[in-house]
Amino acid sequence: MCKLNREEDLLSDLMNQYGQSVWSFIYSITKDATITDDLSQEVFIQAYRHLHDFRGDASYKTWLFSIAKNKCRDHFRSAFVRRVTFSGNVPEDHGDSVEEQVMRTMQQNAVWDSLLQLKPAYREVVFLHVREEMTFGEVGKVMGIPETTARAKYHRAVRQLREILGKEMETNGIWGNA
Amino acid sequence: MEFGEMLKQGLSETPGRGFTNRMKEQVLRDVANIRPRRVHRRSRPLTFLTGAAAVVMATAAGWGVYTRTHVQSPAAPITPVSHSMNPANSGPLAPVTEPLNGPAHVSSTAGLGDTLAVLQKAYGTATQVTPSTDNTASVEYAFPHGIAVWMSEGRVVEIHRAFQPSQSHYAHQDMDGMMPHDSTIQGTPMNAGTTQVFTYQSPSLASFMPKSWFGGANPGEYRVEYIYPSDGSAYVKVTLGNISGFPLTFAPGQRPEQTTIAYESEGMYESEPAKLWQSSQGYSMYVLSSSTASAEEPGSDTVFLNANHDFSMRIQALPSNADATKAVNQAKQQLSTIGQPVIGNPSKDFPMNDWFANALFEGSATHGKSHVITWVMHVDGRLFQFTITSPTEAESVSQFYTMISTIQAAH
Repeated sequence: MCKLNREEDLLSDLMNQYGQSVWSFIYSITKDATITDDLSQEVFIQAYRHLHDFRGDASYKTWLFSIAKNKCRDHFRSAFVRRVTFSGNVPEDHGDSVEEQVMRTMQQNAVWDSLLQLKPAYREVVFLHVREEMTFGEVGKVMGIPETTARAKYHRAVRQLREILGKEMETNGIWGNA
Repeated sequence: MEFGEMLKQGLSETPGRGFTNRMKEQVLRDVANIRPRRVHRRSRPLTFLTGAAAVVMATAAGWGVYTRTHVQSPAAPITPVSHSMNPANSGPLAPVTEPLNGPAHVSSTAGLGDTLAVLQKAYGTATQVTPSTDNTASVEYAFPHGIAVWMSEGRVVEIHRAFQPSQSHYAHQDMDGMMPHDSTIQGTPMNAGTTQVFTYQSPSLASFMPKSWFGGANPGEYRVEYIYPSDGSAYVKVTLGNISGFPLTFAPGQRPEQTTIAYESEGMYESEPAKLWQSSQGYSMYVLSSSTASAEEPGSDTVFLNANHDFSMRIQALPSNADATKAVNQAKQQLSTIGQPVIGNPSKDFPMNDWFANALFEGSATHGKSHVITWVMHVDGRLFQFTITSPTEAESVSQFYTMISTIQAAH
């Protein structure tokens, strides 16, 4: 590989550090892995284009998630069928045993499945606050809503999640004696 | 296991393959041909934008803008960064390198004058809007990225583009990248309220399009209007020649009785007819057709959503000698009788929205199934208190914010 310049180094670091988070965030909104692949790449391409615009008054993380949020918004707002731009996607082997994969999938399905049953705004606020450990101020910045609204949405979302997960637990018992 | 931990553990997993190394490599390959843009910020007159708010409205005659300049006067004329369009400033969207169906120097980025095919190549498949919202013979197409174009005889004759608040500062760069490269600025840019207007001339457009398409202006002339509504977004309108008047402002008392208001609700743009409502408290406001406004009692009006009266807003225009500090304290007191008040930070919560960012007070409280948000702010120099009540599960009260931002008050 040719030597990367500073911007590409930074982009590479950002992808390493936030790639999975950005991908998961977009997936939580779109619920579609192919679209998510596409949009998450666009997020980093756009970030690269505007690295010099980054003013540092927010963290890279907040900035990237804001771009991701806008990308999703544009996607849903557009009235066209997005063409698949990346044809090389193949599932990668996680290297886990089959048992581990199944256990992990069950576990993530329970939480993720519950999350995906929520309204989009609830999904976003839970993801950003719980997984990304953002403050409500940061969540509000990403979502373009007041901090107080983000906080209120979170509490409503968690209330709903409890109900949904409670039913999951009763049915599957995957959380054991939690 | 505690619920929060459970949630965190579950969400920490990536549902699927996630952002793979292959994708990273693809991104690095893609950006190898892109140079990150070094933005030379235009000396945008933020001062005149401060305290000014605009609501983009589609009037019967097309898109118009109501501007408010109730706090500060317009700033000095705008000084653009350069007088020629720079093709390198292609903005967030990827430039197009396809050959054009016309003079190659008109534009490499699908700007004014190009064909639908080139635009679609650049911005994705367009949707024809039927009927066209401006009721003209031209054909309107909607593209992704908030772009709408009007075509006549297969050529673009008008472009509208909306930018989200987070991208509004790219508006100039983006539009520069879309316009013919041989453009030069004509005269001094104008500004009025939250609108900036630049006039350009492009020799290639002059040779490319019929003279009649430029109206009474010189052939090749086109106008770019940058409109900055109060929500921090940007709206850009590019028109050939001197069609339609400027400035598109309305003095108090001259506002049309009916209009259409565009607003954003839960990430989606809505467009709704609205009627001008004159309050006995000495202000006027556009009321969306989905809402009803009425005088509740002396000194207090109420607006509610027709579909659900649990969504309501009380508007109190306080006396001209009202003390702002007392009003804020009273609002806090009122909230505390409802529930534990949560005090907001308007400038932080609405950093890009000068209307609400400058509010004196923002607070909320929840009681049972009702959520109450209270604002205290100056509108046209007069003190107002807005109290919005909604069910706790409500996602958005943006209709009320939209209506608030159309208020014009007499001193």
